[in-house]
Amino acid sequence: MKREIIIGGFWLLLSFYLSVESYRLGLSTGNRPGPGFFPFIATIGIALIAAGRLINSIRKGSPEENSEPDLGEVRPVVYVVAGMITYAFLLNFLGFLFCTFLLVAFYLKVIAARNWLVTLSFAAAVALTSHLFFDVLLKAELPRGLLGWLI
Amino acid sequence: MDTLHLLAQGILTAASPLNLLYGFLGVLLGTLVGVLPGLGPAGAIALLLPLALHAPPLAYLIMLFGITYGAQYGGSTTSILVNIPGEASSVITCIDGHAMARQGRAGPALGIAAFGSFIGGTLAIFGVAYLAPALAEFGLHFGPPEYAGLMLFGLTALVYLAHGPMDKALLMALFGSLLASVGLDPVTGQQRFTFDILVLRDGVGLTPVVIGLFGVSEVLVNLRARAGEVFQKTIERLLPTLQDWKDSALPITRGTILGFFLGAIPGLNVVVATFAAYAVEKKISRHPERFGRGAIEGVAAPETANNAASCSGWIPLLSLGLPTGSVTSLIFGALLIHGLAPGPLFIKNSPEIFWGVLGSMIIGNVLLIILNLPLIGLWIKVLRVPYFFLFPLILLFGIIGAYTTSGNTGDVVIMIIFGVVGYLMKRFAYEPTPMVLGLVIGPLLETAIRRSMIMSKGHIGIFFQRPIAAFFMGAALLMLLSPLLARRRLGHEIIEKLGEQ
Amino acid sequence: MKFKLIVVALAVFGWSPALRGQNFPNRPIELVVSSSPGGGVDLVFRLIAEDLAKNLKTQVNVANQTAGAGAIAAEKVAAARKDGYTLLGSLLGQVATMTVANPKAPANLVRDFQPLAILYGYAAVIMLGRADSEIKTIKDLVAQAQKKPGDLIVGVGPPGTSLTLEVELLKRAAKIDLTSLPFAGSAQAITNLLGGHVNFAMASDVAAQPHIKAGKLIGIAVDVESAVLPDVPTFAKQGYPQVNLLASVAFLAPKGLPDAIAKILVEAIRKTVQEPKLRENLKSRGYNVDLRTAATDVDKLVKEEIDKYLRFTPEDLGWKTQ
Repeated sequence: MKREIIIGGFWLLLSFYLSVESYRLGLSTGNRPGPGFFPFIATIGIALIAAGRLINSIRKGSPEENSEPDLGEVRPVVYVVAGMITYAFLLNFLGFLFCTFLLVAFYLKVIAARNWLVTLSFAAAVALTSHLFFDVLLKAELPRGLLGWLI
Repeated sequence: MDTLHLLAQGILTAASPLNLLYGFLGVLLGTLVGVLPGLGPAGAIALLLPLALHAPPLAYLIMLFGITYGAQYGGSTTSILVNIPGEASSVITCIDGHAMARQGRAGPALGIAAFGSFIGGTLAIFGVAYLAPALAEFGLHFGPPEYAGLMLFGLTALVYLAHGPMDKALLMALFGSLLASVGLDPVTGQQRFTFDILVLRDGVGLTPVVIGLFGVSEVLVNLRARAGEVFQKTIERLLPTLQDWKDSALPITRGTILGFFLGAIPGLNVVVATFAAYAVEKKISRHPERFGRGAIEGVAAPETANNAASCSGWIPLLSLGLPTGSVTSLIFGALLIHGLAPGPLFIKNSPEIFWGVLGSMIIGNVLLIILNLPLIGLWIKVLRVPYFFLFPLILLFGIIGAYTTSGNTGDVVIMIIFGVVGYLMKRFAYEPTPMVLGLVIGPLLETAIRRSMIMSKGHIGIFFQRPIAAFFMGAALLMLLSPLLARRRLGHEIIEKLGEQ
Repeated sequence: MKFKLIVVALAVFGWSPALRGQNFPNRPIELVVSSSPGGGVDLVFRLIAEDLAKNLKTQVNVANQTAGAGAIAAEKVAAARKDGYTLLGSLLGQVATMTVANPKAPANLVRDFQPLAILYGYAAVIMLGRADSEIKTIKDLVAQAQKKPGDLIVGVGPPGTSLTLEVELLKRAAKIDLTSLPFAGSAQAITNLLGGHVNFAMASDVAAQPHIKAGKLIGIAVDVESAVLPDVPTFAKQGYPQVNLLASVAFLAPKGLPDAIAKILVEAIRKTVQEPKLRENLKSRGYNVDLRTAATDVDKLVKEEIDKYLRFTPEDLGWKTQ
């Protein structure tokens, strides 16, 4: 039930904040719905549903559905997400080839826990083939980064 | 008949060695692009544009068209096998398709998907050949009020898509439409919810959201569960059973018809056709509770519909010269590059192109089914690769797909954010599908209503005074009320529903 | 030790722009185009880039970067190294819009860019009407609008585009009230005009041409003489020169490019566009080929573009911040 309260609270806060924003956008221009009109209705709808669920779950006191997530499950998720975020930020600096290599190597070493040989060779293989396929063959204009300095 | 004769000639033209080669490349590339999450036909066509300046016109066009419907074939593969849609139009296939895969029935699912795609695509081509001009004319009657009615009717499909509690699904749909309003307001030019972040000015794109919500989140959820495991240990059978064929026959028929007509409406995303087809199947079914647990109709109908819709989606462009979406705009550009002016006289002035393209689509569909069926065995083998090697690739392709949407890392960040959101949703049992529905239909409904109000200077009557609009409004209301009307004891029904929740 | 000094000295000289400029260009040039692939603007740049590469004897790679309505692309090039290897290919109006709406932004057309060449009025915007209507000229339109203010509906483009803003200019100049109905682009506006849901539509001439040829629609006015529809009179000719947001595409470099490099680029672009084959190619696709490369000329055009857009508020331009 604690979970339902947190979720319900989240939706209520979010919809409240967004409804204020929508209102600021203007609910009507002349005799027509303004930019904020439909978002406002949506936020009200969300708030009502969230409130309804919250009240219901407090009244019924539903049992715990799943177990709380433990560290073993959350840790790889955090790593994967952190890896991707770093990739996104470094992409324009290091370029596609190197970033891909680093990302795949990171995943293989940290999450899959393979040895260095497998990690580095697989990462290199993936980076090179995808570079050849997307950059050279398809000319996808992926960022060159460091590669631009070398060539 | 004359049309048949022209079509036959078109097939012959398309069967020339050069055109066949380009056609084959097109469908192959299309399948590949469809399988890779994120990279869509629009992206692939955009990448091939420089080639347009050098390639022979008909062959080049055949290739481009091949990419578009090839992608509809490929998109279902990853949806079924790993619950990650290759295209937004394959989102719905994930539901029952992946459930079937979990039951060891990936083969039949893929088979029926391929076969349905073939039927849908081929029949749609005949539909285009015979009906294109008439349908195009009809499509012109759809102004903003008609769209509003149609979109409202489409939203009622929501009722039949949710598995879990209705209120959660509605919440997701509202959230989706809220998300879609981020960015530049299409009517007034004001920026909504952009918080001065530049990349948000274009809004939250459908592609990065879908890749994140379905693809990335699926990987995140599976990280521990699949640790080192092979995805699937046994595949029971590779081909659909007789019962499967029997069950799929009508859904395929319905999917074709629904997909064909919905696709012909200018501006309607193929995604909507898939949602509609699924909703219809679920509503008509005698055992709707099977849906979501591996009902083959839930694969057959949407997959057929998306191929039919992507075919008929060409009608506005080919008959009137009006591009209605990103892919059609690209093809429009490609036609212009070759000095072919698509327009009302296109079919008359360039018959060899029109019929050649149609003929190539028939050949293309045949090529695709020949290509895809044996590939099923291959895909299943790919799944035997340990997940730890597979998931970096899945994520990488997702990143590339997101990046190439607009050449910017912002879309990658959006994808990651929605990956986390999707992960949380999966943990807390919120469904992503209604959110996609809201994301796609929400803005369409909103702009349609707002434009209608501009047209009518604020009078709501416009929705009921115009025949087509009134029809859809009425139909929407009917859909909303029908479950209530079906029960005799109305009050009892409502109390029941409240008690459930 | 001495060896290290020599290496360092070589490196320093190697990176120095002057030395690099001497054999410019010696690696591929990136042309960042802030429009989506396949569209009119992109196509023009791709066509020119292909031949430009031959004249410069190096690759010219077109990279589409549409995010943030072109602002991201503009910022990227404004901040790029001033070595001539990164250029911006965009609709001049797009960059002018950003500058007018927010002069302090990282990409200011006047402050951060150096125009190399401008294709002036490359494509025309046309106001279309139905063939079965009695309104055939702007005069008819103004007369009808004065009779029934707000009654006539014009299908325009997304907020901030010339498709929309030109109608505003017409309304102001003629002092009439027209209802502007925004659509996503030319195609949608034309569709709705054909369907009779609006009375007029603003569209690109290339998109409109087939329908005029088929006799369903007529051209009422264009903002610049159209290569594909030369018979349609301009707004100016019909008495409204204020409706003048003609689209121009520009090759922009980050401001402060060394003169030698700028000269090489400008010359190459000029040579490329003068080539008869390319001119014909561009013309046959409906583009006007009016290339301006003289420094005074392009600077004046940039200033004029800014002045044109100063007539609008940031909200009109679609850049109103929350």
